[in-house]
Amino acid sequence: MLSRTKVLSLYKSMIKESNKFSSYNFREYAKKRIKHEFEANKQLNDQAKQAELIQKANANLNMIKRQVLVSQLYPTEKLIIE
Amino acid sequence: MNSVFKSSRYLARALNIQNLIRSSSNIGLIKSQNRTFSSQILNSNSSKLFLTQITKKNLESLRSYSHVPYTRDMIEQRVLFVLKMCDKVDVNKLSLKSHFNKDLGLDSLDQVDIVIAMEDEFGFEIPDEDGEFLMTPADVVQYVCDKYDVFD
Repeated sequence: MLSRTKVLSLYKSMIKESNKFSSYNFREYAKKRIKHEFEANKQLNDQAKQAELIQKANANLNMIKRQVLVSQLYPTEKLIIE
Repeated sequence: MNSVFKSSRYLARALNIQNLIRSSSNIGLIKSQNRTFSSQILNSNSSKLFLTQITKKNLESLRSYSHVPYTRDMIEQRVLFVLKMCDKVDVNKLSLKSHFNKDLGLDSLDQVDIVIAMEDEFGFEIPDEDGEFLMTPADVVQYVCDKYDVFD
């Protein structure tokens, strides 16, 4: 059984990592997507499915980390809404 | 008619000059002007040195801090302000004593969002194990006060 705190800390680290995107669009999309996915599977009780989703989230966290690095290498100008 | 034409020509010339100044500021033409200007300031400063030496004594009794010392009231206001900015928080139900889960109906994910917002606002990291126990705005205020060494 995955502990509640582990899932929450995974959520937190994903949100904080996405905050580092230099481009507004990527940043907001990543945050919205993460929030949406976690909300959708809030009541999930199937343990196998839980483990699978946690693995997917971990893979996505690594992907976000890579993409943040890439986005910082090629910064864009800030949008007018920022 | 002729005078109007003349004045418009003057205007155009003035605009041209302005453009020239603007573009030359990148090149360094203006920079040299600035330098002479600043040297003038320096000269006038040296003549005022005597004056500053007199006033220096009075100034030394004052110490300048980078910010005003925080008070509990300020932190309370900032915490409540951050909470009001969260779109899931019902402003009418919000008070210092209201419980995030029971009174405001927020789940643990929203609570993590609040913790992240607080980190951004106050500029320090809140570890997960501490963040779990911040269940009311009053808790957050107390936690921030402990971090900033505010006692009262």
